[in-house]
Amino acid sequence: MRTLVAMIIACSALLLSGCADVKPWDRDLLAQKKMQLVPAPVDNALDEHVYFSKEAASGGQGVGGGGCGCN
Amino acid sequence: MSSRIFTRLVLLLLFGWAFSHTAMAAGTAPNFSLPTQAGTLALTDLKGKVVYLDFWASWCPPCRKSFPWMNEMERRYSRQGLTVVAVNLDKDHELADKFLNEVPAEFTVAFDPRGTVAESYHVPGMPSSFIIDRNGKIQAIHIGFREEDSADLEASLRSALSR
Amino acid sequence: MQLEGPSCVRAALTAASCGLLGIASPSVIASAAGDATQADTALLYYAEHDGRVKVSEATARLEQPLGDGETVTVTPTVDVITGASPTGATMSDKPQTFTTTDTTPAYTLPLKSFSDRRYAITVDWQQPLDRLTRSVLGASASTEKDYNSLGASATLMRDFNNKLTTLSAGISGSLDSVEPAGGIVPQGLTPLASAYAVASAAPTGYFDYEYEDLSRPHIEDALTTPVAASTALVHAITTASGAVITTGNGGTSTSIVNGSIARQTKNKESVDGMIGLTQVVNRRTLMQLNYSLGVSSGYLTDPYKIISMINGTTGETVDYRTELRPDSRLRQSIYWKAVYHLNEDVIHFSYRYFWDDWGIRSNTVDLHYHFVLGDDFYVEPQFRYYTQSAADFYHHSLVDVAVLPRFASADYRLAEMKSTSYGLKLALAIGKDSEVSARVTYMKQTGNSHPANAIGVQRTLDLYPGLDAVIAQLGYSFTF
Repeated sequence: MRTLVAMIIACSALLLSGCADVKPWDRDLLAQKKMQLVPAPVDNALDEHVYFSKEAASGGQGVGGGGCGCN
Repeated sequence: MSSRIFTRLVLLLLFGWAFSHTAMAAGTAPNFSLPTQAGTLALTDLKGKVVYLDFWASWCPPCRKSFPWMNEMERRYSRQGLTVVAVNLDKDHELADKFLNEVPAEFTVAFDPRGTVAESYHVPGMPSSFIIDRNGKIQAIHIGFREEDSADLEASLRSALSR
Repeated sequence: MQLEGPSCVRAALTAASCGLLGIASPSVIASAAGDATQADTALLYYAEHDGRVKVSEATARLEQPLGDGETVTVTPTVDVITGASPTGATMSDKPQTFTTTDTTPAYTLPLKSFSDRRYAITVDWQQPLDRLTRSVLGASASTEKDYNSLGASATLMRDFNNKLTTLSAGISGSLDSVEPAGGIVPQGLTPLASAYAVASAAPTGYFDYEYEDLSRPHIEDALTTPVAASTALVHAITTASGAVITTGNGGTSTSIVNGSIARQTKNKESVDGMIGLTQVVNRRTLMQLNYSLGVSSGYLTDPYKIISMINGTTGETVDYRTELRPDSRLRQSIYWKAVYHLNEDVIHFSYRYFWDDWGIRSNTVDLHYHFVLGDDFYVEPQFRYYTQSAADFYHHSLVDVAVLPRFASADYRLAEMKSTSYGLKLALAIGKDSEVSARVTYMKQTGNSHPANAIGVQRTLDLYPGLDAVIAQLGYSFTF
């Protein structure tokens, strides 16, 4: 359990720190539909539905972030 | 061992956050010289005019919304000395051309594919606009484009034009 | 979608009420002019091998921008489910009869047929609170013959670090109710002969009743039409020893009180929370890390599932009992996703570790490779690998005279199993704002067919026949 917590904190720290400073105008690739966390929401919802009807685990996916970062 | 790695990661994290911003303060607008659809344009060429300097790209949805408004501003205030300059930051020129075919611009469009001018202005987000007064000083910086803000933006333009 | 007998959470297992959190995020990209409605429609056909479950589903996701980042998304769905699903009884070397008209042959997995239609809708409203903050409020509802669900969710997202980092936090809740076909929620872990006995007096205690006025017309099955008190509904089960067990109480299987039919309803509540971190790692890489926690309580048992009671020496089936699961469940998961842009192609990779207080531990690996084959065409191979450990109370069968465990279920979805899916998606862009796509997936579930604790004749039986399914999907996205 403690290793799990340490792993989570380490991953978060890694995510935040090992990151390049991407300029707002360099987010062209991130703006593309295929670069979104969930590029096809309908496919994703259908899949999730199949899998949680047939398996014991469920959920976990998140919302938001990434993308063009436009204001 | 894991606690040392952990401390280092936390320090890296703080380090990264500390360096995340260098903002542009109001001051003299950095000069630039960029190709446009009609020759090269330098900021110094526009001395005496109020410049609405906008940074945009084809992949930025709010940018699409801002074009009709910028067209309107150019129409309304160019006689009073307003020049709208929209600096395109697409790395692929073709994408910019495609956009301009769909959303025509009645104002000057300049091209900065390498982002050097954007860098000198420390552009904080896409899109961003800078209102530069007749003396070449940055009067206002606006991040983003939302229809509800356009009235305020227009008011700032009018105030810069009246000086 | 109920892929397992009626009820979306037929897998009364899972609680995320068909996933309210994290699924319906409005798209970040406005692909067309800001005010157009984005519609993503799909038709899905799911079919398992050997005459098991078949589902046809139609869904449409309609996203309408309301100006300045505000969006409303409505997703209606209709499912038609038919076929048969495992009852939980193991196969036997002798025929088993569960209804007067239907015998399961030897060496065949006992299945129960059903047919149902499910209607569901979710609505999400995304609202920017300021330049860096957004909230999403969602509501959902679904209904089918024996299951109804209502849910709500709220999520907050805030950007940091020049929008390179996004923190999100969400909470969702749902209220579900099960009203089993046949009108009775059986007693758990009770032999079938007495599990469906219904008190004819006013009910108290364990069961919740709902009375329906007989004078109003019904659509459902024969059991809902008024029956005379003397009509018998009997399930005759022939066990391996030839004994015939009669279920029902020999009289009516539904109780008529004061001219109304009592139809039992059981409720279930869930609350789920999630915190997530999304980080732009560099120009080509995006990552997300989420932690989720959920609690479900109430009736989590599957009212249709049974478990075989076997002779401790010979391994022959001698009786059947209804299953029973705990009335609470605490679920947690950690989910990591990475998206990486190559020259043109994009890789999507995710890993999820899930664990709960039922003893289940699962790992899910998901990989999609978005292969750009031209300006308008792409192909996307998809791979998914899933493993889970068994729930503490999962048993493929129970020894008849042994001490009964407090909870037991033979539902194959709670067993130790692995599932592998291979899929391929093809998509073609039409014009600027439309896309037509086709996707086919082959899913295979396998488990332990010959566990070490198999007794006697069970050693010759496949105690986990597994599952093969094909999923075909057609999609059409457009704006209007």
